[in-house]
Amino acid sequence: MSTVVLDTITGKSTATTITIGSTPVVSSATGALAIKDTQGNVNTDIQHGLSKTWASVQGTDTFGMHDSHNITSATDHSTGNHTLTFANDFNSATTYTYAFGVWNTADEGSSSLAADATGLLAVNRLGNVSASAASMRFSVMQGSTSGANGAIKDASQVTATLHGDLA
Amino acid sequence: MSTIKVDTIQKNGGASEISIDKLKGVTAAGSMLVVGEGGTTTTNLQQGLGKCWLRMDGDFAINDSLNITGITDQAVGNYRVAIANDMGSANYAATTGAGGSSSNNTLMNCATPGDALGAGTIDLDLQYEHTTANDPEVISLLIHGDLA
Repeated sequence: MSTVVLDTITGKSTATTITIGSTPVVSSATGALAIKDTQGNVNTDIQHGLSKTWASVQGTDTFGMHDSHNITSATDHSTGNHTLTFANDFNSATTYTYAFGVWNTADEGSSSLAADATGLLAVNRLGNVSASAASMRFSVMQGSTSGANGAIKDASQVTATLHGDLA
Repeated sequence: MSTIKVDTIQKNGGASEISIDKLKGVTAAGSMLVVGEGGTTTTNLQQGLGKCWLRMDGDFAINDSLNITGITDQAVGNYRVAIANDMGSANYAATTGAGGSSSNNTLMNCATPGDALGAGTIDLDLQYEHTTANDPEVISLLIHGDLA
């Protein structure tokens, strides 16, 4: 067992590039770096485990971004119809995964169950728009109930997290 | 301040593995880049990490979690999750999942009220069939964003 105690490691040839074993941390080589899991046994891949894009969007009032990672812009096309444009594209239009969260204060009031006439809110990637590696268009919808039809909605807050391979 | 300039670090036996407990950036402590799967584009390590996650059941037990100190049962289907190391603001991206009873295939929704998001806590509201608060069998929560 050998230990080196120091404050900074800098690449000799390129200051921002070091290689651990045969795996570069920041370089133009293959983007895969393994790290032990919490049990100390199985390796997990850092690059695959990282969320490549996340966003918190305000859909109602003044449309805009609360905060984000790897997003250049959010576009409000129409009611409940929005696009997130990525800074660094994914490597494919069809292989990244996405998960959404949504909340609408106007419908839910002070209680999540305040309005019986409203159905559940849901967010989906728009299926009638071609999938893209550079952006994702999605819609916010409210389900129908026995007393009200479903509808496209502007929600108070929509969140998204995307995982997949970068280009 | 000491600096070592090197191109390759290997374990003593030559294996592609080293031991380290904490990483931070040099230019900015909270920002490190790693090369993406395509071999060219970089992605930010800190930004990409899930800062909090939680799985709990309807018996009010945490099955497993990261950066969570506890849960308060505020009412049926209404929980407050306490974050150990606070987020930098309330503008984080939280995604949720919930599972209803396997016996009745209930459609279950888990939402995070926009007016109840905080840097140190997050509320979860659970309901099924859009009108009835319920304690589900499974709740999952994942938060991405900036730590304080």
